[in-house]
Formats: sequence, structure tokens, C-alpha cells
Amino acid sequence: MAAARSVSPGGALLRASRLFSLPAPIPPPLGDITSSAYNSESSTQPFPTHQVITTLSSSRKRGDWGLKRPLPLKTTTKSSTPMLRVKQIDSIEQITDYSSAADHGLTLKKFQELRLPITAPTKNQNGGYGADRMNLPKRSVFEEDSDFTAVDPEQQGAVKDKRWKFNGPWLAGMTQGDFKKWLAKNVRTRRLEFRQFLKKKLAVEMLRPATQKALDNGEELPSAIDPETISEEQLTEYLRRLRQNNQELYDMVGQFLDLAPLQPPTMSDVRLGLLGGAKADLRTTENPYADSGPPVTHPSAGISYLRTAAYLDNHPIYGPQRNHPPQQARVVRPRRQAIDGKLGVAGFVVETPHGDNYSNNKYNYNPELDRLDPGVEGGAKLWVQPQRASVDSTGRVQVVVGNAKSEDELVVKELLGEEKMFGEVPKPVEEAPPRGGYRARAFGAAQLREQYKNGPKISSAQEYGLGTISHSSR
Amino acid sequence: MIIRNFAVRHGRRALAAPVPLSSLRALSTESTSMRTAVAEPSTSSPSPSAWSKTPAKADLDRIPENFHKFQDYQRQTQSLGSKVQLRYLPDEILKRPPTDATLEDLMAAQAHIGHNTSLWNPANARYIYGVRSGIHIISLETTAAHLRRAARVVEEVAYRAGLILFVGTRKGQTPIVVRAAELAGPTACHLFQKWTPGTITNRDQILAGGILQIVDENDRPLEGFESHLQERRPVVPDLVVCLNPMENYTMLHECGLANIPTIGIIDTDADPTWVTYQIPANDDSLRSAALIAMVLGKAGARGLQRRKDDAENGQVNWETPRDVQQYITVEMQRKAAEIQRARKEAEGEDGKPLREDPLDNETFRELLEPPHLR
Repeated sequence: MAAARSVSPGGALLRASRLFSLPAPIPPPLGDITSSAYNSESSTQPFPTHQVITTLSSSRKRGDWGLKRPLPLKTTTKSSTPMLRVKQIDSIEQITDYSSAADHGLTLKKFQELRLPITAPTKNQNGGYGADRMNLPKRSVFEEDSDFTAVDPEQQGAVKDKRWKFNGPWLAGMTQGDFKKWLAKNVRTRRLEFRQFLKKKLAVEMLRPATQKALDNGEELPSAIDPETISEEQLTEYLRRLRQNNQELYDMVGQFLDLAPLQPPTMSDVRLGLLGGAKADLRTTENPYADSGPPVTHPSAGISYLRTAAYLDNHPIYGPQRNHPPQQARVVRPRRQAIDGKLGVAGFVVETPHGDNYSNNKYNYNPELDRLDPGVEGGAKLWVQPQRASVDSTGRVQVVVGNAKSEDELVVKELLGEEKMFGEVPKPVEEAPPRGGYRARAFGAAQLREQYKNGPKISSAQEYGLGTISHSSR
Repeated sequence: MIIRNFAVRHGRRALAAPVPLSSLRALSTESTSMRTAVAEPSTSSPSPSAWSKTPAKADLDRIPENFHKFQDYQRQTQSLGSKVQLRYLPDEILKRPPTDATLEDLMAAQAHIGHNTSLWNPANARYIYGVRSGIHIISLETTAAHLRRAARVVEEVAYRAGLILFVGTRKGQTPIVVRAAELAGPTACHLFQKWTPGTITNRDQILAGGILQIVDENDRPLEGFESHLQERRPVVPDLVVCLNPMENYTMLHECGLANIPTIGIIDTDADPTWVTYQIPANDDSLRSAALIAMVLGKAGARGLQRRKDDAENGQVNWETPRDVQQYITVEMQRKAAEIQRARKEAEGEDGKPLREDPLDNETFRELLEPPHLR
């Protein structure tokens, strides 16, 4: 209220304006350092970093996008997908820095046509590589028990297995330099605060045996210990004890700095000696983001706000359908021996369906999936059933598809007009009576098509009667 | 829908007509013969399906009747519901120019968007509200206040029949300056091409051969000034409104030399000392330039209307230029002397005037002393 009162009328207007409500750009995705061969500056980024804007057609004709100056008509009026991202409203060169955002805008539209809800990653039970691929039931990211950000600082520890947002970093994702910088800047300055924090913890711990005893004997509970009364010697002794217990120390530090949870090393890592002899008596965490880090945005990334895909599609003739309509996917990379193929669905590259299914049958040769045929115009396509989608910790959308059932495929093709409707009786072609006159007969579209149905007519010697002459001469 | 209330709610209509087959199916619980699952398509299916049946002749005969019913229904219900209004038409600002610009108008016209912060002219600091996403934001209140002041200037100049020149030499500003000059009346002009350097300072050469007129308070040309117009210098504007001062420094400098007041849209990178009356606003946006030019043009129209109303009542608010005044005085004296001489010549022969005294004639006196000089 105080802020609203101190703002001038113009300032209040500006705050409510559309230009000011454009969100600040988010940091771009990190480039794939490991595969420098595939680095491309013009390729579509894994996720959008700028707000996409559009304008009305009447304003677009004038170049009016609500920005500093009218944008060049040559580049902004020809597109059928008028979407822009504005990097700078006015640059030092006195131009508006913008580029087309149709890539992300269209991808969003296509994805929303799939009507897939975003699911939260599940705890990787086996710790194995392909565990997430199994068709275990998934939950939406919008479920109340996991989708919250406002947490009471006292309760942070209690819900650490369900949260996705943390104040502290995910240590496994930091480089050594980042880690050192973070230590110097954010951690060293909080030493005294941490000692106070530990004193509070120690006060609770010191009281625990007395409390337990009182409970056992049915006596009155002892009064709480004031943390200020704990001496430095007691605290140092407590610290020594903590250092002997990795798990407890990590819990204390993690709670104090609100660190994102880390998955402890697996037994195989320990056996291989990758940890340099560190103890492996760490407790595993149940947080689904412990394996690869918490997400950079809300786990839905704003790409879909659906909570479930459990609805029925209705067909006007066949009635309710068991499955959602399948989608056409383009084969981006065919399958080879043990290497999975890649498909393009709604603007996302997905892996070919896994598991025991029709397309993975050893004896079933799948010409679209197993062979690259450059002769097919637009690339080979096949029908797939989108199953679920999630956003990983780097912000990339991961779509999982299965094989489309042939019945569903047929229904979709019928609706698209690619197949004849079930039980459809073809209309009898009525022969139109000639409307009279030479032109109507000779140049009607139907007649012309009929005339050239078997290719253009080429005159021959027989037509001129020459053939008959040769016959008669023989 | 609650089924038990169905008859109460829709009783008369539902019971009057036979219940359609589709709602019967929805209400019944017994299984129908409708196929709900997709079966393998078999072309050998002999029974023609419902959707490919040819309609009966009775159905076809009812089509015109149904169509008329549909049209009646549409006619009855077309006044119902909300009316969708077009809130923004890009051309509207030129067709129906606003009298004043509110803060909302200015913001919608992008008048607050300044330049990159590195490009600023520190003299504009007093107009700048703050910095947002790398650009300076011009205070809307300042813009509105300065625009009102400039509108007052234009109005008073138009009221005194001053010559107003609207200048906008950027691409797309042509219709704006033309419309503003059209609004501000016969004493306003526009410029949408390059300013010829020296049009003010060297106007005797550059504007030589231009047509000059002496007009009365009703803008009607007056006769009898031919000899004066031959030796008169070309006119200069009495006020210059410049929509893009950055590209028109030469013109503004010449105006300064000739003591001509100027009004200019000052963006955060412009020098505010180039113009007399600054309007801090975005000069790159055509919408912003159009809004400001239309408000000024409309102010000119107001001044013109006031001047016309006064002229109808015989009131003249301008001062005749000193050289014109001097010419009129000299000419009057010359004519009076001529008349005196003619009278004396006529008296000299018989001591009696031959004809009536020309100075007694009302029309002649009026010609010598125009009402606005009395």
C-alpha cells in the first residue's frame, strides 16, 4: 500500500503497462560442451529465454509492435506466424534488436495440441539408467503435495523430499571454481550464524535423554535449554562429534544453507574406488530431483497447465475412444542395431518407443524405422502415441511416445480424409448433360481432366490414315 | 441437468413436439445397438450407414420452411448479447484527432520510451522518470504538461493569424504533418522533405518568385498593395513545430537566428536547447509523433476558430506589420493630397466646387481607413 501511494499517476500507469510486464529474459541454456560438433548458433534453443510477442494485423501492417519504433515491414509483414522476441528495445546502434520467435511459439502451439500434462520425475528406484523409461504411474507437477514454494523456514527440513525449489545450490552441478567462489562469498561470511544454529540444535539434543526419561517415568517434561547457556567448549565437542558422522553433518549444513538434495554415490561407485575411499554410509534421499538437480524453472516450465490426460476423446460416429488420437512423427534418425532411432513429434526430438512392443519385435522389419530412404519426400513418417512429457533439470522437454494402435491410426486417418470412412458408400458420379455450345463441351474442366487422364495425346501416323495405307500396301 | 425438473423447466416446449430420438437415447439406460468401439473396416459390409443415407423427399420439402424459421429466429435474437467494439483503430488518430492527450493516450502511443541509456543527453535528466530494460523512460506527466504548454503556444499563434510550419521529415511522418497543417487552417504549412538550407537566412534568393498577398481579417485578399508587394521580402514562419529535431538542426538553427520560436519533440538523446518549447517524448514512434502533432494541430484549429469568431464580430487581434502600416499611411497621405489638389483646381476657376467632396463619400473613406486601423 505504501508503495502504491508513493507512485505518481504516470508511474502507476507504466507499472501496469504491457511493455513493463514483459518478464526479464532468463539465462540461456548451457551449450553442450562435450559435443562441439553439434554446436550451432542458429539452431532452436532447448527452451525459450525471452517472452514471445505478437501484434494485431492492422498494427503489423504499420510496423507497430508497441515498441520504441516501427519495425521494418520487409521482415515482419511477410511471416504467417507473427511472433517476435525482443532482445533490446533500443540498442546503442539506435535499432530495436529483435528476431523471429516462431520456433518456440509454434512448438508451444503444437505441444498444446498434444494435450499432454507435464509429469514430475519419479524417484529412480533402481538407480539404473533406464528406470525412468518404465511405464510406472506418474503424477502431475501441479499436485498440491509437491507443488509449493512458500515454505516456513522451520518446516524446510520436513518437506525436503518433495520440494523443487531451494535457496542453496545443487553442489553436484557446480564446477570447482563456482564452488570456491560460492564458499568465499556465501558460506564463510555465515560462520557465526552457523554456530548459533548448531547451538540451537545442541540444546534440543541435550534435552532429548531427559525428555525421554520424563516420558518413560510419566513425569513432567523438563524445561527447554537456552542455547545461549551452551559454552564454547560444549559446542566444540559437539562439532568434533559431528565431523565423525558425515550424514549428520551434511544434514546440518544442508538445512542451514538450504542445499538442494544430493543423491549419495551408488555401491558400484564405491566398489570401483571412484570416491577415493570415502565412506558410503550415506542415506539415500527420496527427492526426485536429487539425481540430476532441481529444475531451473517451475517443473512444468509453463509449457502445459493440464493436470491429467485421463479424459475420453469422443468420435462423432464411433463414440468414446479408448486412446487419444495418435500423432504423426517424422523419423529424424533411423534405428541401427543397438542404437535407438530418433523421432520428431510436435517439434521435439523423442526416442523410438521402448520396451516390449510391436516396433521392437526382433522378427518384424520396420521399413520406416530401420532404413533411411532419401527418396521419401519430407522424410519417412509414422504414427505414434504420445504418452507423457516432463521437463528435466536442464529445462529440456522430454516426451515419451509409444506405438500407435492401428485402429486409432485408422480413425485419425479417416478424420483427416486420408482413408475412406468405415461403411461409406461412394457417391455415384452423375454425368452432367452437356450445356450446349462448342466451348462448354470442349473446355469444361471435367472434360479436360477426362481428356488428359491418360497423359497427353500425341498424334500418330495412324491418325492421319498413313497406317492404313501401309497396311493396304502390304 | 436435473432430470426431475426437466418437465417443469421445459414443459411446454418439450411436450409439444415429439421427443427427438437423440434425447431418448441419452435418457434410456438400456443398451443401444450403436457401435462404440472401432472395428476393422470391412468394405463388404452390406448395410448402408446412417450418415450416407439420401434424405427423404419430405425432409427436402421442409428445407425452405426451416430456413425461414431460422432467419426469423436470427432476426429476433440479433439485438441480444454484448456488442463487440473495436477499441483501437490505427487510422483513428488522424481521422478524429484528440483535443488533449491524457497520460493513458501518451503511454499507449509509446511516448514514454526513450533511447538506450548510453545515448542520453544529460540535459534531459529532468524529463527522465527512470531506467527500464536498458532504456530511459520519459515521465508521462512531464510530457503531458509540456504538450499542453506547446498547445497553448500554437493556439495563440493561430489566434493571431501567425504562420505555423509543421516539419516531419522522417519516413511515415508525411500524412501526420499534412493533417496537422490542414487542421491548423490556412495559415499553416507542412514540410516532409529535406529543409533547403537557407530558406530563412537566404530567403530573398531561395523563395524569390513566391506569391504574396495582403489579406484582411476574413482571409480575403486586399487590393491596392501591388507596389508594396513588389518590394516586400518573402515571409518567414511565425512558429515552427518540428517532429524530428535530430535531423533538422539546420532549420532549427536558422529559426534561432531569425528569432522564430520552435516547438520540438525531444527524445532522451536530443539537445533540448535546439528548440524553444520542448516536448519530451519518443520521436521514433509514428504513433507518438502523430498524437503530439494532432494535439498541436487541433490547438491550431481552436485558435483559428476563435479568430474567425472575433472577425465576424469585427474584432481584429493581430497587429499589422510596421512596414505595411507605414505603406498604408504614406498611401493615404498621398491620396488625400491628390484629392486636395484636385479640389483646389476645381475651386480655382469659379470659387465653387464642381462636384461633391470625395471625402464626404462613405465608401471612399472606408477605403482610405480600413476598419481594423480605426
